[in-house]
Amino acid sequence: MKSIVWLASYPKSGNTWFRIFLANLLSGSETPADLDQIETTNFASRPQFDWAIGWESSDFTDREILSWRLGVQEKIAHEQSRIFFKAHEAFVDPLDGAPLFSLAATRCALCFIRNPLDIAVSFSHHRGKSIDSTIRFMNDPHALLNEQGGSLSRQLLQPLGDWSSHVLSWADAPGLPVLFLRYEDMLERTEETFTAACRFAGLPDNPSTVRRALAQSRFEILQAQESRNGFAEAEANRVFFRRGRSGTWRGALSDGQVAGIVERHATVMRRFGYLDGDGAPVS
Amino acid sequence: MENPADTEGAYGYRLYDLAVKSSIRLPGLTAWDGDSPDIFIRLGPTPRSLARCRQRGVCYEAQSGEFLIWVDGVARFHVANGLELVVEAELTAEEGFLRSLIFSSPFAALFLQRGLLPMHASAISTPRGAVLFCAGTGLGKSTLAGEFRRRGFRVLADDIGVVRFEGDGSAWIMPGYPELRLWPDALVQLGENPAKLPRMRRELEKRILSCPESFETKPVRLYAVYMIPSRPAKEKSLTVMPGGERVAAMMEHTYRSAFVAGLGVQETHFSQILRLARGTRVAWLARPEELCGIQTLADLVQRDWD
Repeated sequence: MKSIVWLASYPKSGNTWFRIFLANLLSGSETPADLDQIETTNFASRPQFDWAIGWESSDFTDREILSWRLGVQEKIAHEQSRIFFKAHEAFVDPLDGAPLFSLAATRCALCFIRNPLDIAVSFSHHRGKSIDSTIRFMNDPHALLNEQGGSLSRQLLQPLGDWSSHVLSWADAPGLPVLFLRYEDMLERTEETFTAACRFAGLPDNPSTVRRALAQSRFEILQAQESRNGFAEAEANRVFFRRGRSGTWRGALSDGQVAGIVERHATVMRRFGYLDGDGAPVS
Repeated sequence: MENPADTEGAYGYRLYDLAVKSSIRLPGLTAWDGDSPDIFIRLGPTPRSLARCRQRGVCYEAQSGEFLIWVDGVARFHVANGLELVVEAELTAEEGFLRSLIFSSPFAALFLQRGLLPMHASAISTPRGAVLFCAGTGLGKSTLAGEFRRRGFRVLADDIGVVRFEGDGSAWIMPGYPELRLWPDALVQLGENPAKLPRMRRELEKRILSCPESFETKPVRLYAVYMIPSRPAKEKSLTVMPGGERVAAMMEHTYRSAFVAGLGVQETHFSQILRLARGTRVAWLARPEELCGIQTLADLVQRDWD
């Protein structure tokens, strides 16, 4: 029953890179997995949700859909021995604190975290909006992805909250087995970080298998695949695999923009090593 | 079970080539005043659960011959033997929403019980015959039907394209009811003003585009099935689907395929899918993410039968 492994993160924090690594790890193939064949779907995608509830989710309000989330997870967990889902939602609803994830259905969570200064740069590109707008979004305690409006989103509502409360909702969730992976560690201590994640999630973790999957998930390969065939998760044809580096905020954010993030998120940034002893941001 | 013939049926309608007697008013449907209905719809109590439930979803239970589905705070629906649909509605349930719900999953279960094949598709009538646009939610099947309606073609169905197989093996598409349900951005693409159209329910922006003047009222023999893949493509394209991909694609695009096993109709369903896969022109209709460009997508499809 506890069969879901959540690949959870605030957007643009390394989640997709890990999903591609996972596809390569599990495929066992000598050639890199195609971007279009990543099987770890977003939990917020409609088809599996509709399959579980028996209704067309597009006929229902966001609140009605939220009320079915835990039941959907438990039905999926009941019918699968192990399944991975990407999730951007906070662990609890930022509006009312209600749980958005069923512990009864959850095996564990791998939670990806990235310096919010870099997220601001990457996420603003992904959204096609200004950095200031993205910082306001990251600071909004009631921020939502894919809220209902005048068009139908392919994904369901995803309550995020602000960046700090999002991270803390996963980090401090009572009873949740969770391992945090810093994007910066995934870049700098790649094999060690990915191997630890595999071990935690019960995935193959022998060095040759992990190295092969990592080699098949190199950023240049992903960029080339996206350039050739596109990537379904890119927004409005904007490039998804853009830089794949840390520290890009230096030179991209103004002092005021840096202050706007650091002042709001200092406690969580310090806890995860994004501020030094003097409270200054590290690269 | 209570004899459906004893229940009150004040209203008569014809949809999906079936005669319906209903104690619930269902405005917008084609009227019917015969005396031997195929289906009864009535208000009444529904079971709390099914005694021999074979399959349970978050909001439904299914067993051979019976199906139960609900929305807490709105209504419960019990469908029996492809003959009777009982609705137990809350007093606060919105009439239009209730009507929309009746014709979605409860009717899908009813079709499966009757040996019909409900596809997740819109359908139009062309000079070559009926065509189905199969796709998941939000991929443009209703918008395509709306675009062809704008071009003077007749609409057969929106969202559920019901296939009936005749004794000679031919597949026919049943006329649903004269409505398209579209979101405002799609309506704008079609030159319609969303503000002038009624909402499907108060809380949603989705609108009802009533189209009795361009509705096909008789079954039409199936000519082709166009499947819109769930993953967006870089460019629009139309390619004949390889035989090996057809069965899986049609299984996936059966409307509420999740009910098939619970209702115990796997064998019938699979044989229908095989007939459809073998005897019909089936093509992938790939399209980019953006909804814009529906006209050029429709041009591409129309060239396929012109």
